[in-house]
Amino acid sequence: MAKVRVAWFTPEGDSGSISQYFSETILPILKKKFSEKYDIQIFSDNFITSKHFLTAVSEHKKKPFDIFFYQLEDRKSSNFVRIHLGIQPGIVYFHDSYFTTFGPEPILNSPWKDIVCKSNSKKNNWPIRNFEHYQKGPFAYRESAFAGVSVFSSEHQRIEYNRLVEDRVLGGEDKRSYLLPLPGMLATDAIKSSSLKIAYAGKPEIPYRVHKILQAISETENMHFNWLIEKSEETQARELLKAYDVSSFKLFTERSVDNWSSVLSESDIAIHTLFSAFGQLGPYIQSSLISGKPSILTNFASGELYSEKIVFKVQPGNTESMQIREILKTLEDEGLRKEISEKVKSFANEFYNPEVIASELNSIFDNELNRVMLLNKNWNNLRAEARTSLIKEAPKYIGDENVWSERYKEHFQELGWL
Amino acid sequence: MANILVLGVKIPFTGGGQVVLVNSLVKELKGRGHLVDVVELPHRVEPKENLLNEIAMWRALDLREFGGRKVDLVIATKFPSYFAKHPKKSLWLVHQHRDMYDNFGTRYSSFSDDPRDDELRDMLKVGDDKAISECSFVSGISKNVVTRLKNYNGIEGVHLYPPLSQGDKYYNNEPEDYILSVNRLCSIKRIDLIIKALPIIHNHIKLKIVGTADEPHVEDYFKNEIDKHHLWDRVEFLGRVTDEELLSLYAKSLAVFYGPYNEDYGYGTLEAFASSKPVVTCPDSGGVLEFVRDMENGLILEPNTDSIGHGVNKLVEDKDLAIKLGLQGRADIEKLDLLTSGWDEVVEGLLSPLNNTKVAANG
Repeated sequence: MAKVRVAWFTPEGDSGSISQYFSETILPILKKKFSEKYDIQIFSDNFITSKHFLTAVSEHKKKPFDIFFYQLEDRKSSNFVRIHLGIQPGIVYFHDSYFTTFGPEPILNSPWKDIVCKSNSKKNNWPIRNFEHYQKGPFAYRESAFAGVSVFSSEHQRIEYNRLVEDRVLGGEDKRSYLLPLPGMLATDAIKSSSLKIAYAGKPEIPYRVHKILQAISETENMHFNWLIEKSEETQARELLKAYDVSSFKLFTERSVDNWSSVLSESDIAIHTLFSAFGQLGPYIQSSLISGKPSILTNFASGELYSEKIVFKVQPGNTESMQIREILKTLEDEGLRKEISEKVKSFANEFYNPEVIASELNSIFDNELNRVMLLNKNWNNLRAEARTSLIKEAPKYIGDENVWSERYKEHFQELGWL
Repeated sequence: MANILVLGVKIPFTGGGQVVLVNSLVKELKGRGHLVDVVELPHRVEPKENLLNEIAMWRALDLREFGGRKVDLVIATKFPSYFAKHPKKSLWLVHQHRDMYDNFGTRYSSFSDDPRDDELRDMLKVGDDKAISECSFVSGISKNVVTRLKNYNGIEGVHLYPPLSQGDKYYNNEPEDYILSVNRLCSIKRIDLIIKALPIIHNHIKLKIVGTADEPHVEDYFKNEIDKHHLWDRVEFLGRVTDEELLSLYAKSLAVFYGPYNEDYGYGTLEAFASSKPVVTCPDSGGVLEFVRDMENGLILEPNTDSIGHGVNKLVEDKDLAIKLGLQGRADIEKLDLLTSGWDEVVEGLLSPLNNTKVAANG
């Protein structure tokens, strides 16, 4: 039986990228567990380690892919994924659905709405050329429109998708989508000490609530703060620590899931506060839970949908630092931490274990294969129509159809364009 | 001796490195006793859909014989001249249509995610693969250009650096208080980087800009930036200058700013070095980096205002450093034979199809 050909788009060389982490974690399992089933070709934006994304469509024409699999996040290293999604729609795994930029060219002037309409046969005309197309943001309307199948690593994003998205290739009422949590990376237990060691990976910016955390720590004794930051954030981080008079801390650089695992190995608990519609908590929260670390989250957006049976939640606002402080005091009890840890590990292993995630991704591919093949067929037809349109237009630039036919047409044929 | 046609591409009313390259090549070939002429067709970047017709135009040319003289060899240079058919075709590639390759996805490309644009990209790429594979000898003007060809089209080529056309005429004078920029005025040359850095650069330093615009609105953009920072007493647009004026401008400059985005080759680098002047460039300037080494013969600075401003100030505050870097630049290109000699290798490569048996299409 022919293998399912998958064009898998992933950034490379960006250790902070969720997409890269997911690819590095799940691909080896997929390749091993389903080696007879999948023929996976990696595409990135370099020529050294993988195939370049600009070769994907010509490869597809020679030997078709069944699935184009994209991961989307609000990160520069994923810009090429955002671009290519508009060239060839597919299955999109959203790690972010709110973007802080409209993206690179050619997205800035993308006629995506017209293209989606045309692909759904709601419109016959091609978009007007050289026309400034208004891009709505910051929600990923364009990217959602090109997702033949939408998968989300955060339930909050999936809810937003269902609420906001109307225009989609493979239109119609069926807005099916999937939640596929990110896999966690296991960390070891911390060595016992007299202080409560706290792991944190938020940026030194207000939405990440570090000011509330540091205030809480400053009002509590025997706390040690392990903070994972980017090198560029160090000055700001140190200023904040000094401002809140937090003297027992350790800074780790750079922010990545691997490094987070190291931080967790030196920590008893983890804090994942975020008061913003942008960004998400994964895969850091999954790594904390799978490592059995009692965790504190903000009850908003990404954090809202985690059960209070497995995490502690704080309400953002005036009493936020007080809430954090009380939870920290509660968690000083080693026995309680151990009890929570067992419960959390058991839950996390069921849902965030990489083997489980790989199997679920396989199920999604199985369930949606026919749908994406229909999408590919429709898109191939659209591209064929695009080529016909280009050929039909060509004589108008010469100004004389007869001259074009006599002098140029044979060369179009010879070059394989006709 | 052979009858040779050099195939060039011209955007009317503009100049640039391509013109210099073709003229220099013709001069060198004639100097070696060959009968040489140039075939140039006009080129328009927009509307990009018409590129298909431009390619067909080149394809339709019969270049085998003129006035009873058989054409022994054609040498193609820039896209889309290499689409011409001839039994013996050499390629000295200046660049392909970069909008669909390395510039795709940047603000320098006009290709969007409209399926028509992507089909066009696919058709042009298929055309490139075919036309360039027909060449009996494939080369590019820099490692950057041949690397692109290998990466995007899977075609191997050798790099043959074009030597300077008047290499023996460049000279060096005591540096005066200005930075020189010599380039076509268009966005990809990023002259705005040095304009925007001027407020950080010491006040007595001026910026002299040689070149004319070949892109709509770019001059307005530069003028807005100059207005915004009240720099009119420090910036001078010189437009086109004579060869003598250009040599003098180079000779008296403190340094040359040359920071384009992913440049193919960059004659400006060689001209600066020939005048013993350091080059200020950026880490994403492509072919320029095949010659410039940071703090050895120039400065490689991040493409932002702060970095360039403070970097240039290093040269302003330490003229001995600027002189030292410039002299090293001169020594470097002398060693590479890019001043007065160096054409033998280029000509030998380009003329090699006259001696080998590879048969190109339309034979």
